Amino acid sequence: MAERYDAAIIGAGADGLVAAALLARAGLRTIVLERGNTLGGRLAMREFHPGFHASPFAGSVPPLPASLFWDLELARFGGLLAPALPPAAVFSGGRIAEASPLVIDSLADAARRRAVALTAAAAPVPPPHWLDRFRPPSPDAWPAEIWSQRALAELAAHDDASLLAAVALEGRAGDPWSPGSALNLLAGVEQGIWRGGLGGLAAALAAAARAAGAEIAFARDVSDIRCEKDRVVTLALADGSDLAARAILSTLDIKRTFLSLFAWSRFPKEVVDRVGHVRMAGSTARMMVALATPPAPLETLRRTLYVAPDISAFVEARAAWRMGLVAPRLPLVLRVESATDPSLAPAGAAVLSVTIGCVPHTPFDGGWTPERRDALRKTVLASLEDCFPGLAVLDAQLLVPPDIEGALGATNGDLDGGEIAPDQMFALRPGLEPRWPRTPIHGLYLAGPSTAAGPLATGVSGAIAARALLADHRARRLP
Amino acid sequence: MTERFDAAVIGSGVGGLAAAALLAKSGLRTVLCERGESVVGSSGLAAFRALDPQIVKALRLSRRGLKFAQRDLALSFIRNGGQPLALGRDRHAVARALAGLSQADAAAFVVFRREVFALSKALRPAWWDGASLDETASGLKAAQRKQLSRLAVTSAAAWLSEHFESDALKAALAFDAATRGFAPGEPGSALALLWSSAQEMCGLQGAVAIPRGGQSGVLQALAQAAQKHGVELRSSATVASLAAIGNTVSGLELASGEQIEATAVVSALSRRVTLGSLAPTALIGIAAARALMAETPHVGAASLIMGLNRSPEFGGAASLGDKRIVIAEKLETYEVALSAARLGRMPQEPAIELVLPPAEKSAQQLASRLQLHVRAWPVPLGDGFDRDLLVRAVTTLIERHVPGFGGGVASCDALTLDALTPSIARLSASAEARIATPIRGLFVCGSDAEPADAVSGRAARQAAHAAIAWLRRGGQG
Repeated sequence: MAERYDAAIIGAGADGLVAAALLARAGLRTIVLERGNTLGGRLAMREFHPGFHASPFAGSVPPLPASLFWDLELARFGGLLAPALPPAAVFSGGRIAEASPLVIDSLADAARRRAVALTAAAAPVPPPHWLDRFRPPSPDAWPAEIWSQRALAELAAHDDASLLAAVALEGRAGDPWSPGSALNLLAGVEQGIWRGGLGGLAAALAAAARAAGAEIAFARDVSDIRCEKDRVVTLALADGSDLAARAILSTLDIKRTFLSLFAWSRFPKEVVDRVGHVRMAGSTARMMVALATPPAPLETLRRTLYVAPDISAFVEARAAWRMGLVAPRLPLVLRVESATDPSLAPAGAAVLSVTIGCVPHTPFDGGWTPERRDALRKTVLASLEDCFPGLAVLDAQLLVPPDIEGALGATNGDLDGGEIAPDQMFALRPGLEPRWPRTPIHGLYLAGPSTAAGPLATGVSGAIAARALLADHRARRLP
Repeated sequence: MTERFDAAVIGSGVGGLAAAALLAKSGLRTVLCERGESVVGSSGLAAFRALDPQIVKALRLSRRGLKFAQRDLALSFIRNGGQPLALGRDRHAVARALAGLSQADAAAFVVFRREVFALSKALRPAWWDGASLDETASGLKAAQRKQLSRLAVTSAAAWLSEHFESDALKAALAFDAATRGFAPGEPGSALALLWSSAQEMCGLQGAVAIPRGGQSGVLQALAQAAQKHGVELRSSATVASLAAIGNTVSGLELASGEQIEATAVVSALSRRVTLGSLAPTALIGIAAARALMAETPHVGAASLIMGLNRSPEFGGAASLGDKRIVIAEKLETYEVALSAARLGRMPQEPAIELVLPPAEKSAQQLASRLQLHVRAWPVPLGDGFDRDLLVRAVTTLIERHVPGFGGGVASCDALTLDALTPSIARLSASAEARIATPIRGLFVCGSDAEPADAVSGRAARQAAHAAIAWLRRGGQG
């Protein structure tokens, strides 16, 4: 049997890499097990057409707290962020309507205020890095007013209501009229564009982890976790080998972690039920488009562009999604990352990445056949052509929710690790409330999108889980 | 011409009449202004979901002709072509009946009912005295408090899906959330569902009953009580606006130009209408007025009374008897219909509830003796509403289970639309917060002053008590 690691981390996404850096730095023998061959999980980048780089899975990620940026010395490892410009709506014929910075500030402010109210009800002054001190609020508090905010009610005071709804939802199949939809605003504030795209952030995190002494192993697919007396012992890998670890930190979503890495019989029925009832809402497809020329002035393309005709289009697209259909008009989010970082596309060309909202994981009458993919591709390209007539498309690659599920292991292709709804956020989120990030299995820690901090920030749930693991290590609670 | 009263009530209906009668009973000079030609109204849906027992007692309604034709309509749904399956009060009998549908659901039903019973029992004090959910919860055991706080932000769909697997059963159980204005897929609807089982109707918790004479029967008894206690009932009296001195209410102005002075005003209209269109905006504040208008787009429920030539046969059963039948295929049905209604279109497939009240002989009765009472949710209110489309949709839905039903429909006699306004904040607020307004001396007790939309008179009782206390303080403080 090979030697034993102190900590094995499943998944080389942001959470896994942050946890690896923190654990390795504290002197633990740490390995990150990545199923695929690329770094970053949803941060991954792909050269999908010669010279064109884009992130296949996500257009943006929630903010990485400044404190993590400084703690991990990301600047030393090449992490560089161009702050986000205010978003803009794009209409037929290329008309662009920019949201005023004032509106965006108030949007960010509202989100922050609400998060502070929820996380630090006791603290009279908002903490500087609120995500660092993130604790799920007590379920005894009745934050009904906060839960019940409707995104639309929140936004109706602004004239750019549909744009702001689009910013808040970012491809999620939310209904702006539903109570609680304002929760989407929490994750909807964009931080900026990393040098090298999202992959640039992944590379910086990985460099920080490696510099601290963590090992990152690719093509290691964990298929099973073996336990003895409710304590993790070894990880079985898909290639037949074993790996021994004192503690395991999973950055997979809650369903994937509990229902596919363990035998169900291992858990009490309540745990299996509770995990089984977590609602996943895969609703996002992605398209990477290689363009021969930028479709508009670069200044315009540095903003995130929302194809947001009106709020009723959201409602219609969502109803179609619920029935397993694709609506004729889909909410799109466009990012031309090469306008900010020219190294992502050949000189003079541009790379466009599109987040397509309200795309069902499983169409009502079966799977994603080539014809159906083609129809979706045409719908999206027609929409793009409508916004930017004469768009010079060299190549366009589409990923539907099952592709994202297959590549990242995200159940239903839901990158949020569970639908953003009041009964699945904050203290109610992981379903294993009192012990999180610890789990009913000793030595297993849950990070990743399904945790309370998951959809709100990048890297934070990894940091929280790593700190819990370290505390247990220091208290000699690990074998 | 100006007349002076202690208290003025806007709007009749259960809330207005009950509030007026209670105010007059405590010795106050009270006037009630109703826009319509009669304070009682001519028709209305038969089924009644909640009636405050304290009002029944205080106003001695049972001596004034309030009788029930059916006391406990069991929520039912139809299995493919079979007889209606009633989810009655005996949970073990229901479990036996459900076993044919799904063994797991039969077992889950017993557990679910027990859970609902325990939680609604915990909610009962809040139903009686109007305490906020916060206050109610503070007296509970930790586990129950936690469960209640989770349900407060959970959707009925999620809650039901945690228990059951059968689409038809879940969709039927979800209907009561929709009647309270909450889409079963939206957060808060689980608590709305719980509220509906915590409310009381003719001595039974969570019951739906048919009063003799339908809704008008209740209104007649209330009107009699109001008259008896000396309320001045004015019909055809449209209130044009509220008058105020400073931020204290001073009376009403009618559309006819007549002024009514009153120290306290109780409005049985919704908060939105009362504050949004009757009160001077300057008193409400622009931000608050804007928030009132920024509420959900206008979606509500429609009630139809269909006159029938022959009795519809549901799975061979000639009469619905003590059942109310819900036709909703699955939970998604509600969501898809709601999206359509929010976009201002008539949904093709609304969720409907059918009640066939026992035939009555009375002057109030409409042309056909046999009437099918249909409640449909959701429908767009305003321009998008299309009566013919609704009747056609309802007929088509019923024909799925009763072939040839459409041929037996002689007429569609009456139709009423209710605006239902869901709000999570309202579900957990105290009664005091729900009836109070920014204008001193003005109280609201429309159906939206209840935790979830319901006709109950409970808010009217609380508003009347608040108004009486206000008057005893001399209209101050």
